[in-house]
Amino acid sequence: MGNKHSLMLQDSDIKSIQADTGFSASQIERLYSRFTSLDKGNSGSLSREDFLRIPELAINPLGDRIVHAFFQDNTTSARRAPHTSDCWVNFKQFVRVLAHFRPIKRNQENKLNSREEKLRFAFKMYDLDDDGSITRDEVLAVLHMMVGENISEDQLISIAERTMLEADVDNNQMITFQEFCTILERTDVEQKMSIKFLK
Amino acid sequence: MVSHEWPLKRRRRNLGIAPDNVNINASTTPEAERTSINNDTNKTDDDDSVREQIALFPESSKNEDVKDSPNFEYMFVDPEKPPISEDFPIDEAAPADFNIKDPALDSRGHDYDNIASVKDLPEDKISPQQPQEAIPADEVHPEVHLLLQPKSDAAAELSPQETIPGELEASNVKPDVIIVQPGDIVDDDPCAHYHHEHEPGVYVASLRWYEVGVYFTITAFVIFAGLGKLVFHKMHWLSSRVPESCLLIVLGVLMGLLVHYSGGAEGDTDCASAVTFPRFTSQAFFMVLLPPIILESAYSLHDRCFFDNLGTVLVFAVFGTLMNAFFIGVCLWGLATSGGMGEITLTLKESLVFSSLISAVDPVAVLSIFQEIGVNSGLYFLVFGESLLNDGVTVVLYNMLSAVMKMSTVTATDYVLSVVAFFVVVIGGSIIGLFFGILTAFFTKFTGTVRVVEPLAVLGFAYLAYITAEVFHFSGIISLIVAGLTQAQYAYPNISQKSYTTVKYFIKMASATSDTIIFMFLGMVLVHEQHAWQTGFIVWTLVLCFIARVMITLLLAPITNHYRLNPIGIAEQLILAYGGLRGAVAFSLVKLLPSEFEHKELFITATLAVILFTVFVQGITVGPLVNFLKVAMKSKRPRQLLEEVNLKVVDTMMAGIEEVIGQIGDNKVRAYLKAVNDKYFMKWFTIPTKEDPLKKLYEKIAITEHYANLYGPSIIIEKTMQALSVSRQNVNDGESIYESQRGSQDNIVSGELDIPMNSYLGSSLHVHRGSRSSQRRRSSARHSLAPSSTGSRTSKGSGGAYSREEDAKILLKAINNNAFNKLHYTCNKNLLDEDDQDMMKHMDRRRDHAKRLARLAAEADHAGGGQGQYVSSHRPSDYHGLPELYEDFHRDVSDDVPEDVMVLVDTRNLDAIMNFHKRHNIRKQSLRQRSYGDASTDPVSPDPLLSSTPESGHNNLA
Repeated sequence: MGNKHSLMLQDSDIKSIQADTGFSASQIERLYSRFTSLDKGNSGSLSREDFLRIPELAINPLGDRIVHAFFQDNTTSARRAPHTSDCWVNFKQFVRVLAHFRPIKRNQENKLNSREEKLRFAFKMYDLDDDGSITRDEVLAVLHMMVGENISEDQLISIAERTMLEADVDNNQMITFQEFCTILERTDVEQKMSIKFLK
Repeated sequence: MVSHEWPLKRRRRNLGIAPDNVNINASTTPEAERTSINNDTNKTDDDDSVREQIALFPESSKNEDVKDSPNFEYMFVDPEKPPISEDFPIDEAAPADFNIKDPALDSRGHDYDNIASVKDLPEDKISPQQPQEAIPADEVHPEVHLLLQPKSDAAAELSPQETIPGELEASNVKPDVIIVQPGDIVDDDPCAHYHHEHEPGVYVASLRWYEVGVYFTITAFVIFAGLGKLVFHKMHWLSSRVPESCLLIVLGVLMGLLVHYSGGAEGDTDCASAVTFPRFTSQAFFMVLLPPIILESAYSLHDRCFFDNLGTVLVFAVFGTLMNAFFIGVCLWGLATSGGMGEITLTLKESLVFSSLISAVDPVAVLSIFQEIGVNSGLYFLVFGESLLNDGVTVVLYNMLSAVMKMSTVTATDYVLSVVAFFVVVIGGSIIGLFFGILTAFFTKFTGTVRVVEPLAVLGFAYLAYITAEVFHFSGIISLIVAGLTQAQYAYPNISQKSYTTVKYFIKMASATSDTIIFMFLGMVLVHEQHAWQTGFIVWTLVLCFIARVMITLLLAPITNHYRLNPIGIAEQLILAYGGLRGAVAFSLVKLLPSEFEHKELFITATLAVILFTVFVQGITVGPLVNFLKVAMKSKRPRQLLEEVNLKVVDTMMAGIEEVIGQIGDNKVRAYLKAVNDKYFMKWFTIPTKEDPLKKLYEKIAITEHYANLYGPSIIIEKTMQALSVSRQNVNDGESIYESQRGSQDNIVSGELDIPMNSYLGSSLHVHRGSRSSQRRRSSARHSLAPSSTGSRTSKGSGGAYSREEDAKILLKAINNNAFNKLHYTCNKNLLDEDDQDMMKHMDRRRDHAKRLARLAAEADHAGGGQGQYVSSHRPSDYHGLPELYEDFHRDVSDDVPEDVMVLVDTRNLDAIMNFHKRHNIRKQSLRQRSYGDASTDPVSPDPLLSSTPESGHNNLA
């Protein structure tokens, strides 16, 4: 894994990734070519800088969060190299994260692109400190990222508090993943968090 | 109505209209008039010449008469016909009105003389109005339509010529006179009152039925239909099963029956129905009735979900409709020529015209039905968007085919041209719509100080978009849809909340009225028209309509699914096919077929059959079918802030992910468009202080919650008290008290409130308090309202001197007598100070209030801990805004109510303070301990029963 990866993708790797994520071989090939084009250092893995070199991602308000999600997703495999624990993401991890965005097909069960996994990914956008819950300050921070100067600080605080109030069913001052799912239960996550290319 | 002797009658009656001008213009003696008319009558023998005159007449009259006369409301004149003036010289000074004092009206006076002399004739009972009816607008000439009846005196003048013995039975006339006019103006002449009116002289009282009759009828019907709708929706068991279109058709039929039987079966030849039976004309339909319906639908199309499904909608609306029309047309033609439907000869062109109009799906019926059912918004916008755009396509197709049909020879070039024309018409319409939409935005950008013109600008420009497109022969409907969508995007942010509300409700009302009127005509036609029933044709039409729609939907859906992220399921496809209800547009188009059209009657009958079948059968069964197929429904929950936030987050996130993948996808395109939109268009077209939708939603929620807070506590207390009195019989059994209270609390939070004062905010109340707080409430209620268990907190406490029932009554009374509540229960909310309904004012007040409370809290801090201390330090007189109310409340309540309840009332304030402290990083825990002392052991929740939200709890009385 990791640095041991050659630039060519092994058939066995493709197979295992296929089994893992449900991508087709050709999709994996294309993702791999994208991966290598992002991998400026030819190290077989991507750093945060590699990601942020994508211009639009760098200016994306959630760019940092998205990149972070790539690194923070596979803690187990990242543990392989302790000194760079979450500084690198290899192709397998890369594909695994992207697998969240495959459109859901009715007859094709896959745990990675299920509704819950999609929501979990969205949840990570808010969960800045990775503690599995969203606090008011985290909501506020996300709001800061999202909105421009149209809304005053006071109003943002009010909105954040109101959001907490609505979502925080058990009144413990934080939104758990469960509460998050409850609020978003009618959002069409399946469509909104799917990418046609990955179909 | 159309029978064998009609042609003759018609010819004679047709004549009736033309001499109107002659008489007015000639202004000579009655004898002279009569001769001129006689001349005309002579011409009657020559059918063609009469036709020509009739055809041409409106042109001349248009110039002089129509504009001014109240009796010529709408007139459509073939612009290609040159006006003739030789035969009917036009008097430029023709009076616009029947001004009785005007000597210029002499000619009319003469007319009456005529009538008087006619009355002496044996045939005097024959209605002089007869000729009017005989000009069923579309029968005179294909291009000449009169919505309203021509001047009745025109007919009256003709009466001498019309008195052909035996042509009419006098009996037809009489009863209607009675209907039309109350008995006080009675004469043997059914229209005598009318003539009276125009005799020179001043009348103190007179009846002007002829001028106002049509408006009266229509208004009365619309009001009647409104009442019908009210009743219909009150009967929820009915309205939840039957679409509203059914009701409108039924009402229209009733109206039709009324006119039919009151107006005399033999072709309403009397004054009454001749005037009150309005005409349905192309002009009226396309220029007046249709635009509001389309515009209203276009406004409600402005939704993210619609744009997400835009591609699919366009495929279905354009290609689906075209395929539908051609499939049905060709099949009908094939069946007709092969003899598959009995004795009928049908040319291909005819059947194509028919099939194009029968393909028009009615957005109104679809809108109401699918809203009622509440299917998921994806399917909803698919069906609704398709049915709306489909109308645009159908009308274009219909016009084109009608034009083709008039051509004697059609070459291949014509076919190519018509395809080109189709796209030119659609795209031209879109461009004009876009132009006017943007113009509206520009206009409204500068209306900040003159708010009154905003609704006018929005509606006016939208209508102008429609009209302009029609001027250039583009599709007005498409233009209007695009204009509406553009306005919703760029003009709405510019206009004030009030203007928005005005536009919204005005267009809603106009659209409902139009729809009602169209269905009124439909019902009347259903009763009146001489139906040409042709079983084979009609059955085949029904079957083909159904098959074609299902087939084409099932054919197109897989194709679009290939490009869609979430495919349209088979159940949704079926609903999409089944939801193709026909309605107003199809009916209007068929009714507007030129009268020389050979199968017009048959087509009308067939269209009516299809409409009735789809609206009644499909409309009623589509709901159960949706349930049966288990189509995903729309959540009834109101939109929550986190959802709105999340929408943005997910969009941004997905754009980012697509960047990572390096492919250009929907999200990236959307992000790009949004960036361009925000950076340029919004800046150019909207005022700079545009508001974020998030903020808008927040304000909406906050204001609703504010109202909930305003009334919520009283409601809860009231409910609780009721529950207490209910549970009195269980007073000995502690457990069951809890149980019943728990039950009642659940009722409260689940929104089962049915208290009068709660009528307008009931839903919002339960909406925001929802289930999230039921747990909290339950626990706090248990502890605070069952004193026996927590008696330690009160001196009067358990048992006490008063029974629970008395407590309840007293508290209830106190609450109801509270001046604040009195104010709000009795006042018309609309008459309250406008400031009270403005969000920012409320926010300001809240801020002020929070400051006061902070000061109070600081005092309380100094005064030291302890519960009693806290409560007493909280001086009623300091209560912001309404100290006397607070005192009232205390005076009324505090002596008689268990202290438990009083504590609750006061903790509302505590809660506000806590919230304030929380904001300023004062630890909640410490405050709780300060105020309750033994908070760790006391189970009373810091978020008490009576305050719904920490943030705004202090608004309970303010």
